[in-house]
Amino acid sequence: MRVSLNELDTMVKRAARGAGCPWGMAEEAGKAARWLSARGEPGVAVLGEVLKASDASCCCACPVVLKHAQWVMEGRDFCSLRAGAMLADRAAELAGGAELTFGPVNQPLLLAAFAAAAAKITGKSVELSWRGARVVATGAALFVEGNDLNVGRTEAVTCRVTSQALAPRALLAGCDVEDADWQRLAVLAQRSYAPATEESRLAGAGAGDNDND
Amino acid sequence: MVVGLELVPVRKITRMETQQTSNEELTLRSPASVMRLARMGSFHQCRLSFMRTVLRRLQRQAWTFERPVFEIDADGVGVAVYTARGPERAYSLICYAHDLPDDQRSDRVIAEAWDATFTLFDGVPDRADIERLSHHVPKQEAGRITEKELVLCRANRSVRLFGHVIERLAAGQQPDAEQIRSVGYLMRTTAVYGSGKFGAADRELICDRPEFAGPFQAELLAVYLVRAFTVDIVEHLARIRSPQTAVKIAPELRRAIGVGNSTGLGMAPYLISHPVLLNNWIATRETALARVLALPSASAAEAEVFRVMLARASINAADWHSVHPLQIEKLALLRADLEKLTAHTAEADLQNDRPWQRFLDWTVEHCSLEGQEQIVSLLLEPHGALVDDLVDTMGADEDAVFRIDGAMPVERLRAILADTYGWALDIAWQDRESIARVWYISEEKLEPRLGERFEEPIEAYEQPLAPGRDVAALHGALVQWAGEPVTAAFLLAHPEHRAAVRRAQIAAKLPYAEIRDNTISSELLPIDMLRCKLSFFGATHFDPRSDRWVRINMYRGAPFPDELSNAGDDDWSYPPLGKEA
Repeated sequence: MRVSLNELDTMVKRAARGAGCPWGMAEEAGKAARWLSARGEPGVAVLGEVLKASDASCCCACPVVLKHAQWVMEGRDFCSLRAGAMLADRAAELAGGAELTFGPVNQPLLLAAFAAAAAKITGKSVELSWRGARVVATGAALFVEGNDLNVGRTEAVTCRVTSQALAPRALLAGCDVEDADWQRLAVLAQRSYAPATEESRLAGAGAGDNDND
Repeated sequence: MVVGLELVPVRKITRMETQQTSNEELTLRSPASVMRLARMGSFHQCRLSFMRTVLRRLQRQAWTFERPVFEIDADGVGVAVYTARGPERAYSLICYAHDLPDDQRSDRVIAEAWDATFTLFDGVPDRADIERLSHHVPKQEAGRITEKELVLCRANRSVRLFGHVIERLAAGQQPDAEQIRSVGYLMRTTAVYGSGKFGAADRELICDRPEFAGPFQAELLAVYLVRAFTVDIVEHLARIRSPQTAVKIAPELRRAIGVGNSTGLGMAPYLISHPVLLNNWIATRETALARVLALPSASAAEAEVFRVMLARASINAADWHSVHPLQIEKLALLRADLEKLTAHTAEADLQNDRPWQRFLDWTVEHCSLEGQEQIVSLLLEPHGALVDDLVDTMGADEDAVFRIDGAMPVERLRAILADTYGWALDIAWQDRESIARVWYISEEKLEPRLGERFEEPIEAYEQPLAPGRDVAALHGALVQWAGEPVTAAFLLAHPEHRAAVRRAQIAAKLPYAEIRDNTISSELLPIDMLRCKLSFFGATHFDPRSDRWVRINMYRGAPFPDELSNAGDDDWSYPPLGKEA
């Protein structure tokens, strides 16, 4: 089906909440899916996979530690939503020349949206690389190469600033999403809505059901 | 009750994407005073309100209007198209008129059928567009529109007035002026959706067009055309009923017909979830006020405009009806304030020695919040040339501040909380009264609702609409934080505080971004938030139906499309003199 980017953002945010993400992370999920989708990348499908993993086991309480110069989430694959937020939060370190390596990471393509956020903050292009793929993001544009862009997991993702410049690209107006991908998010989003009750219906909105005057 | 206003010098008010005014040195009212719900719930429309901006543009650019399609049968069923043509582009309101059984007429989001449904089309629709949309627009939320459509909305008849007007016009008589005045509209809209809702064009697609750069311009253009439709359809139905005798509505009566709107809780969360927009609206109004207050003198003509507008505001207050106890009390205060203010204008010097600052000072000392905020709006009226350019600073790009500054030292974050959220840190959040309410979305058509935390099983579904509580919790976690003292490290360990950190960083940049009151307290009146937002739209005649539901009037008094080129200069938003009740 065809959806607007605003609808997509809202649906992903609610689905993330339904999957147990804190609101601040749910907001990140919506914005990241929107950024990818506006550039023709499968934001909805990628978030569907990330949220499936979050839903199976929430990673919010999982410690993140630095081991052998690689950031790892203890006891599981690094959730790419958490990794992305961490990457964007450390934009200034990246701009200062630091390299961040995460691994193993699920759905590494999601990190591209956060690399773009870091690029926007720092004014520098940010590069992500993993086995079989390389991604460069500026605040607005995305360049991708390699055969393994949309992989389910990868052992390590390295992130650094690069001097490669990208020409800005026109954004898509709305996007086409697979019904099954959309439906998967809708099922999660549904959990964030309160069940209908008579009490809620009568009192919650502050108006009656009828308007004949 | 006299409520004092703390004034603070603000050297530079930060407003996103502002050029003209960012270097002004003006004394603005403090956010600690302005951003309280009791005051926000007393706002009135003003020159900067969006309906007035829409009409100023249509008039200035000499937009033209056509009605290329009007096919409505004797039962009031059919389709009509209204096209507005500007210098570069045309937009068309496609109207689907229906025959709605009375028992289905509801202004709730959970309604599934309406008297009329509309979409604002980007351009001029052909027959295929009208046919395609006829399968979706009448279903509203259950249908799908596309990037060619900008707005989706619906309206129900005012059962009181609609039939009366048709009956009178059919009989060759004018409708009763008193009935028109007491109801104020033939139809009321119950939701006006834009910005990508249900498949419509995303805001990014149209915000580069000058006509839509300001907030809600497409939505309010649609409502303006809906108003023309509501009058055309009653005249048309009167003519069908009695072709020999039917007459049109007299222009003066027609002017008094606006479009109603019935609004619930959806609008209140909007103010909280769009902090940049809220900041820019309030900062713009406060900047406009500050410019006027800083004037060393006013001309005789400007003083006279103020006196006249005060008199017209008094007529407006007299015409403003509500049966809700809260609003009855507020109206009594407003009317008493306006009497005092009118008496004061007879003796006050409105021309010399910073007249407007002195006038506002007097108002603050002698009037309620209703009167104070009415005067703030009225003070802008004589000074359109000084303030109208500010409307260009009311749009917002929320994304521009979304990104968290992870390099911010934790110490700085703590300081922001102390500076900006003192009001929240002082609240006893462990008390049940402080957290009595829960904002949630019902699975029933996703209607936004407000419930009782300790009486209903809804807490698990709570929406993030209590920034005060969340920031207080953040404060507690920051006090205990012993890790690396930068925000990025704190958030890596505490993703649950990410939303609160984001808000705090935004509020530190934008002084009017945050409502400085508890939005989940047992004392909360959501209608205060609705009134704030709707006053910026330009709404009048706020008539609450409960603490969380309000009816309003839009475009009442405004020139109709066929009158626009000869109408006065933005002079419609208060009733004319000589019509006192």
